[in-house]
Amino acid sequence: MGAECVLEFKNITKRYGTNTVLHDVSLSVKPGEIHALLGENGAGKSTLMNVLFGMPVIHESGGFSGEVFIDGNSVVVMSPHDAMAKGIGMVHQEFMLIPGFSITENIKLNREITHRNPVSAVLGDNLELMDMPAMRRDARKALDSVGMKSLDELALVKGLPVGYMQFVEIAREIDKTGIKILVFDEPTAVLTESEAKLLMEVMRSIAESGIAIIFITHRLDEVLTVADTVTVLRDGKLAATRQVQETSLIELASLMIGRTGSESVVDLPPREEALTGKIALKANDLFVEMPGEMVKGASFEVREGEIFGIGGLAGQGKVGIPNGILGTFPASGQVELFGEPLPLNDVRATLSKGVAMLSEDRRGVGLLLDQSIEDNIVFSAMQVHRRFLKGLLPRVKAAPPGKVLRSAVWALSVVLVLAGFFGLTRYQLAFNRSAAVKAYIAFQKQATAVVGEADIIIEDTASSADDVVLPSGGAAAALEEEEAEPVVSVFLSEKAADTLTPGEKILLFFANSAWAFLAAGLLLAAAMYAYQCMIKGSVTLKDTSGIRALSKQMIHDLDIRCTGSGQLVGTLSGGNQQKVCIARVLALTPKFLFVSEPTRGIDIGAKRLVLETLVRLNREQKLTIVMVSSELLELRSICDRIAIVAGGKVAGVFEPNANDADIGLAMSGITPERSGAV
Amino acid sequence: MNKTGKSFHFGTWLRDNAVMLTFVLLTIAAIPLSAMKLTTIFFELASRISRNAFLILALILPIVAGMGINFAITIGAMGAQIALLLTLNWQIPGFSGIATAAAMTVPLAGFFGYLVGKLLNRMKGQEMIGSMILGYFANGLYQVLFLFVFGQLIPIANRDLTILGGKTGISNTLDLNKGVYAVKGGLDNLWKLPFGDALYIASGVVLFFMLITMIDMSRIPFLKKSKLAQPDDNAILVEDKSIAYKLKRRLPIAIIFIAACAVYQIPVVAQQFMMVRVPMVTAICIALLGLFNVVIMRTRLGQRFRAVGQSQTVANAAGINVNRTRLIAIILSTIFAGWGQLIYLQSLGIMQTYAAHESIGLYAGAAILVGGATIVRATNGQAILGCVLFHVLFVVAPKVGVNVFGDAAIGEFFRVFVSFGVIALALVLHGLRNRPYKPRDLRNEAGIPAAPKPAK
Amino acid sequence: MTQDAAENKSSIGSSVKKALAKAGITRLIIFTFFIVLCIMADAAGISVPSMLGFTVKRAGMYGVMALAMLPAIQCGIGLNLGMTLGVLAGLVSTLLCIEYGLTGWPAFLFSAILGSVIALPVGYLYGKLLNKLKGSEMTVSTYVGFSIVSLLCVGWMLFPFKNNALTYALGPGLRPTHNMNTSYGALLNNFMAFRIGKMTIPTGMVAFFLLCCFGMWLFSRSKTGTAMIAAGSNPRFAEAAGINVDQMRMIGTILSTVIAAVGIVVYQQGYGFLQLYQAPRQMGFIAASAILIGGASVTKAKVSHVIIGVTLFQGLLTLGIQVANKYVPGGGMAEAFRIIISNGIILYALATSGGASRE
Repeated sequence: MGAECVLEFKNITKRYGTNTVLHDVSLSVKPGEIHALLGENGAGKSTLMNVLFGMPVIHESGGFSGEVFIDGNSVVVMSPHDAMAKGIGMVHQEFMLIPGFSITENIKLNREITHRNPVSAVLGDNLELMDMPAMRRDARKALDSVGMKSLDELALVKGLPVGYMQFVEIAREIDKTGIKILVFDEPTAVLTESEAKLLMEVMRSIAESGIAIIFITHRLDEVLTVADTVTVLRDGKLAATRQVQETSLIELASLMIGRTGSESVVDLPPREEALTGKIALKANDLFVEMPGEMVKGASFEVREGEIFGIGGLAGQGKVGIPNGILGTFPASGQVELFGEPLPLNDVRATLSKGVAMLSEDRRGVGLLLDQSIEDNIVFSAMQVHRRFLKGLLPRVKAAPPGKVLRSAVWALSVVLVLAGFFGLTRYQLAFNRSAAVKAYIAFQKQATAVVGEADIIIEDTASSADDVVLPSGGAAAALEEEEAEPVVSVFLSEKAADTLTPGEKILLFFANSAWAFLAAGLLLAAAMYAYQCMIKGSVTLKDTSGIRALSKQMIHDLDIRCTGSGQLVGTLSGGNQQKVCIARVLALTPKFLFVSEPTRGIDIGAKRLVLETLVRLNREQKLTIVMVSSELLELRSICDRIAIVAGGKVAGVFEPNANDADIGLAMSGITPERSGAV
Repeated sequence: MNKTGKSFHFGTWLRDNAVMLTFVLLTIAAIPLSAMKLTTIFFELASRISRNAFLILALILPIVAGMGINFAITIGAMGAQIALLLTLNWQIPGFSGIATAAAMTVPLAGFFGYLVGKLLNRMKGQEMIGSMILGYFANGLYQVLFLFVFGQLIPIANRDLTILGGKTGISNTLDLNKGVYAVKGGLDNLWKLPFGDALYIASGVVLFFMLITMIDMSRIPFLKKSKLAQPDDNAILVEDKSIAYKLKRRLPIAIIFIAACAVYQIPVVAQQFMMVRVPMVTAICIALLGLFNVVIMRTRLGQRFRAVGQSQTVANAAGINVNRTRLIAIILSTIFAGWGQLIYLQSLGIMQTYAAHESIGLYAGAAILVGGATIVRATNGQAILGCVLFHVLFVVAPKVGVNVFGDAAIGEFFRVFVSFGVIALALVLHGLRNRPYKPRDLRNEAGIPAAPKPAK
Repeated sequence: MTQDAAENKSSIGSSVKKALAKAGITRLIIFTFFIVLCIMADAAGISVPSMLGFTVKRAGMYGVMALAMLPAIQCGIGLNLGMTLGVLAGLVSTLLCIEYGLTGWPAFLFSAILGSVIALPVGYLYGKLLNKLKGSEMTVSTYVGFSIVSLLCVGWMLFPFKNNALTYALGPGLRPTHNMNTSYGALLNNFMAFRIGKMTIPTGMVAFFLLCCFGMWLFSRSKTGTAMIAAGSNPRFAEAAGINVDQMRMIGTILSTVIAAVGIVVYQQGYGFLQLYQAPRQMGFIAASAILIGGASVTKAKVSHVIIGVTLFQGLLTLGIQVANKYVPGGGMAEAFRIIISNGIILYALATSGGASRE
């Protein structure tokens, strides 16, 4: 094709170990062309872009085969920096802007226009002074060219509406000299409709100026609106490249999903009895505030005993649904479980109602990596259902004491302790001061010896970091200043009993019985507490033998490959970690199970085992399962029905063998009108 | 769109400056309680400010670079004290002694700063506690150096500096005003002026420079325009704005100086300052550091400091070497701290070998916070204001202790409490303001390429 | 997905590294150093057995305070350098005990119980504060601790204590140092103490320390204990299991403060003196160094770390100080030695934790 293409990928193949993620992909982009890149998650879009930007992850894992041409010259991009130098720019989905800087400063970040000066001539160009007016002019020009004519280039980014930040990002890329290729990474995800429209116009005008645009998106309608050419990737392979005029929504959708043969991931045993059709879970107008996976009004029903799949593209909210219902992210809406309303935002309550969840973030949320397998397995069951605990005290079967009695006993013990302390202080003041003084005098005689011994210790505990003047320091000084205290007070005990006043008599009573009071108060409190604990069974320890027995069984049942139940989970492989997660969930004996991305990041064998386990649970224990997965193939192979989530809503519910195009359309948020939806 | 978000909210202002305002009130209350004469206070204050301001200004760069208060300036001070000890040993007196020590401080403190920076780069987010503990740790090494290495391994010829001929290391207190090698006042005594004269000179210099930059402002765009031939009138609009903006920012400073000169004409006021004699060379050093702090922010390096301070992720994505930038900030800060310590010591005239450096991080940190800085933002003005307020309290606190509680120690304890308390309060306020936001790796979850990062 | 696969690989590599680290390179080095010191001490003519006796004594003294670090690290607030708050509670209760002139066991129990009672609300407020400042607990707690210590310096000058044993004869304020022999000094030390050759074993104190350790060990195996440890090591995991993470952090903080209060009481009875003013400031550092030397990190700790750490650390100090004093005249070296070890180990822990207190 020669130099007429600004960018050309030729037969790109990329492997991570044995896993081929890009297989012989070729692609070419002309100057001024808007080239849309479509594909599901894991289709290879990101890897292709990583190759383009020379990300370290590519080079660290053995590079790739195939060639990249820029302006007809074969290049190997070694680093993102290198990419920048070669004229490749990226508009990030997450804004790479500094909030406290003005727009100008952000646009010119690390590319400041500077004056030379005598100091910088000697000490390097980092000390060149910035030329703000020139920078401002450039920023103005860049902003104007992205259609932000009314935006003040001196405004701080901090106060800008989210949509504007996107345009500042674009302006920054445009401002880079020699930019030839600009990658837009899901740019419309955070924009309002009108902003998205404006963005399309801006993209058009940028393209008209001769810059090639690669537009990564999953919104099919946007592709049709703005792109010239569209390339669809599927499972790391090139599915098709089409001119936009020659294609249609339906075609793109089915290209994107495209069934890869009929090989099923697992064998699906038939059900012994047909589903009853009763509703297990009903979610109505569910909103979940999970960053990046917002759910915005999803409604769906799950039938008892079925495996209900939830699919959709990343960032569309499918992962938010189980997290919201479980309560790990703020949620609102109505959810009913087996006909009863389920409280939202209360994890403990949800768990104790028999809902369990296998988290998509295995290492982050699913496991305690630095604890043993057995501790991980029983943790939730122990905390939620108080299982695998044994009482430190024998259990007493009795009704708990009434509130009045309880408070009375507590109050009494407090009073007794207070009385004890009061008496103690009286008692000691009255009787023991003389003893203290005597002891002190005796001590003083031995002072030299004591100080001699204490020397070593005093030295190193002296505080090290203060320059304040202490009134006087050191134990020795304290000893010198101490003078024997003359015993002046007349002690109560030395008075004859009949000369005591009534007040002194009371004092003496308290003083004499101080220890009795104190002991009685403390013992009473301790006894009361112990009794309550014995009734509630609340002072408990881990039941090691019970835990071990369960763990052994789980390790056997789920085929967890480990050295023993005491092995730390962090040292297991991904697949085995996932099995530990499943074991933990099973230990909860759930009635309703959410499974979120259960096969992410585990190898193919483990994947199969995990899915088979889920099917077995469903068939044998009649467990209702909701499985959230990015892999449509998986959903199709084990689910009874599949809901597709797009834009935080359920776009459609399908039979597992539904039409590719319908599912593809639903994924990009277009509810199919034809039949096929259930 | 609001240009810099400058709409003024009194409530917000009050909250943002709570620490400073509390301190102003405290100071106002303490002065009459101390029953000290203003002349005495001003006299004390002048010497304390000239001693400490440099150290406080040395804290600004790391704060801007997002590393919080650099308590490891104590390590810079240690470097300076090593340099000074050698100078004393070689018996170089006066200004040349201080100059020699200052020159030797650069490699010493620079090297220490490099090590500090390297370590702090491994403790991102914990720099303040890290630098503090690092200061303690270095203090242990310093003691080994001065107790054991100097005198026994490295011979010290000047017998005045050691006890028992160096068998137990360097003596506790070094008199810098003794013998032919006296360096006391090596800087201060070069040129001293009465307060009034100093004020006039300062005002003159400030106004002169303001005028120069004003002319500059209107001149540069004109030149640029002809050179670059910018056709759009947008640019002109921008330049106009900028002059007004600069004028608005500079006018208050000019007014303050003019007003100060005017007020000084009142004899009663002038009388209060009669004991004050300003060490001009020291003052110029302080002013130069202040100027450096301003100018560096206008350079590419300064822009990097600021960017790294605000967001390491974004700075990194823009191709800025974050670790290196932080390293430079710490090295500069450490060297400045070393010079600051020299200024402090030559003014004091005595060096507590094992204690002189210990608390400077604490006091300088507290002072800058008192001036209204936070652990993420600090300016020269805040540093100087903090220096004044903090040291007023230092001067009056012991007297207040005596007058109110009958014991000077209470006042001393109180000022230590205030130093720690101010830092604790600033940290708490900062923590409350930036409630932890856990950034999630949405990008990764979504299977989208992470932000391009420059290769190491 | 593929990235995850790559990630897994690197995580295996890092887990190998972790396993190596777990073997305790620091502990190994320090232990070797300890042995070397023993040999040097012997060569210098210092009686090693009596030094070991001192080590046991000091380990018991500092042990309970080091134990106070344990729940703090476990619940996720990291090194609780602000445990000085608990120490201050223990000081106040001991002062009251001297003020009232209590002696013997009553004095000890009074101080320990009252100290804990004071530490409860203090720990509660402190925990509230730390829950609002997640991520910067260590920095904040250090300075909060420092400032309360200095505030109480003013307090010691003003509190209306009457007992002449406590106050200066002239002028306001409490003396900086008080000997404990009139109240509960050496009470636990002498309880069932015995001698083996030149070593004196303070049975009571060691037993008390081990009892406290046993209590913490039991707690770590209870339902609340496991929940607390989970909340500390992975808050998101704990949340997903329905645990109130803030509440767990609160429990840990209060526990840490209370144990610190008891710890200072044990310390004072072993040391024989009560020190006021700036003395408590460094207590948190000593405790932190001890548990870190024992093999704990700022995110993970076990009871065994406390026992090993406090013994190694105090052994190192006892011997190191003696050896340093033998070889270098003047007392300053010993202090320098302590500063370097104590702060060095904390620095090391901070640097290897990679900064951020969580994640």
